[in-house]
Amino acid sequence: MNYRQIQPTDPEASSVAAMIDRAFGYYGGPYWTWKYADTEGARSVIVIAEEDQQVVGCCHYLRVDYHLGDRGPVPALFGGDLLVEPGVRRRHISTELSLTGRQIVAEVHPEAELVALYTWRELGAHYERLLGYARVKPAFNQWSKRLTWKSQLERLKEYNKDLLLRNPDLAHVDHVLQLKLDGAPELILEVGPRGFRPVCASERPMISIVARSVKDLPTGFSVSTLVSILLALISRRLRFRGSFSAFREAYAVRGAYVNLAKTLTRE
Amino acid sequence: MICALHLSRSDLSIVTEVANYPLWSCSKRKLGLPSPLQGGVWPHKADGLAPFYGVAMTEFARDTELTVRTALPEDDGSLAELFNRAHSHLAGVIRRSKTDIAWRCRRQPGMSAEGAIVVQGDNNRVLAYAFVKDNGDIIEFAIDPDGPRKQAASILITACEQHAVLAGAERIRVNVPTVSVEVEKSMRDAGLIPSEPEARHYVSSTQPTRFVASMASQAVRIPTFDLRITDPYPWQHQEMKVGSEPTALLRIEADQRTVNRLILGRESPTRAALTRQLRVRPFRKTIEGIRIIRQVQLQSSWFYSLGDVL
Repeated sequence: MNYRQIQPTDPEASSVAAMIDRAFGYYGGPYWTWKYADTEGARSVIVIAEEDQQVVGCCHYLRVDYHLGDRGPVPALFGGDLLVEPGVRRRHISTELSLTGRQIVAEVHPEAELVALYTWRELGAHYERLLGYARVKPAFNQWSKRLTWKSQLERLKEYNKDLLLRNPDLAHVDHVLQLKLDGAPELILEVGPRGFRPVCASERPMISIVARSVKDLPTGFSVSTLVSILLALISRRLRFRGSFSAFREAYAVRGAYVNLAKTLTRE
Repeated sequence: MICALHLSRSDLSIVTEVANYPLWSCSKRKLGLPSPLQGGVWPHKADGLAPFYGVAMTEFARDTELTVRTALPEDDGSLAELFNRAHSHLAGVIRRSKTDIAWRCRRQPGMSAEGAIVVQGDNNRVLAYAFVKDNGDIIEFAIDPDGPRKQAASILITACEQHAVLAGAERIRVNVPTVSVEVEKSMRDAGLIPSEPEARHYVSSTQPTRFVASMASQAVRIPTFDLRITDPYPWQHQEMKVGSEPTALLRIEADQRTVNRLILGRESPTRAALTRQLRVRPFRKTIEGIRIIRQVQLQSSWFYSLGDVL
């Protein structure tokens, strides 16, 4: 395995862009070009891992100036988009890429004092343990608001297909589910033999679920899920209201309800 | 169309004043009618202002007229200055320049010209600005710390949401420092909910000894000491004298991870000394060593906007 730096204009760069595009979807090729190949943008360092003349992994760094509060600005590097081809994983290539990448980037930008990464918790733990990184505590919140349920309702159409076959008890159900989540528009669904279908309003028996977040919705029957539901109920993050008959019907088709929650919570 | 939001401390009532311009909506956008967000010649363009965004808002309680408009490339210098000033007390923020705004915000994939929004007050002073992508990610959101923060934030987030809806986004999200109580209140009022970011920020020093020396040089009255990293990589310095005195008072030893955690404020020096992750030689000067680390430690909170990590 060979690790080396390439330039955005090198022929290997197109392989890297294609690899990023395959792996990161929305944040794929156009993002790579903007971030690392824009000559007027930040200064980038691209490091690749290659085997038999094939690019099998990559990592990237951007030269930035971090502001450190009362300590003023420091020259730094922002690392990201580390990727190893699925076929060659579990050979510690990403660890080698991180180590070699850091060495290369420290030579290219000797003035840089810090290197930062933004990554998921599981991968971050690996960086902490093996590479000496420290997780900084975020002093901010990410505020969000759902503007529409459009894509979830599209998924719901798919979910409704053959739902009656999987949940025969739905044939005897006829009530309305009102879902009120903080930071999202209200969602009203009729529940019946045709599955869960959006409606504007209804006089039928209703179940109202009020939750702080979509994450508080019950998505399973495991002990841990039931405990988290109980905790959510106690802390009033989750509330149920409605008529007894509607609850009785909902209990009969609880499996369909749980899968509905999974469908709605999937991003 | 001009929409005027008349804000008071206790009441927020929306008054829509339909002027010469036709009411513009998502359905009309689909029909190809021009968007007020697209700028161009605007019937109610005020002197010295760029084309209106379509929303003019007045906050009577303070007699300050806040105006929303599209941010133009010539604004980028003042936007960068505002961003750096608004986040000067925070750590982890990438400093902005005119060039950086142009690249990071304007040229980012998924960003349209109408997604650049400015709130300005009297004398065209920029009080707040945001860059909203068509998918609803607010990659940059800055409020002037010396201006009417809550009002500016309310107007700005409303304009951001309006743009996101028109662009067909399914949700909006924005990072706001927890110290900005007034801005957080505006977010809550606008119907947004807070959550911890899913991904996290990890930081390491490329040359720990040099980084500690750099941090120490900005602290006051720190005695000279030797710093020894116990697990350096081959390209890193293992030992360095920090300070200007000819002789060092003591020597501090630790591994890279401990040094990073100590300097970035994630680890208590006392606990590190008690658990022997941090060793001070001679041992009797341990308290002095702990005091030095405390002085070097970074105290500021960490923050990054979405534009910093994409």
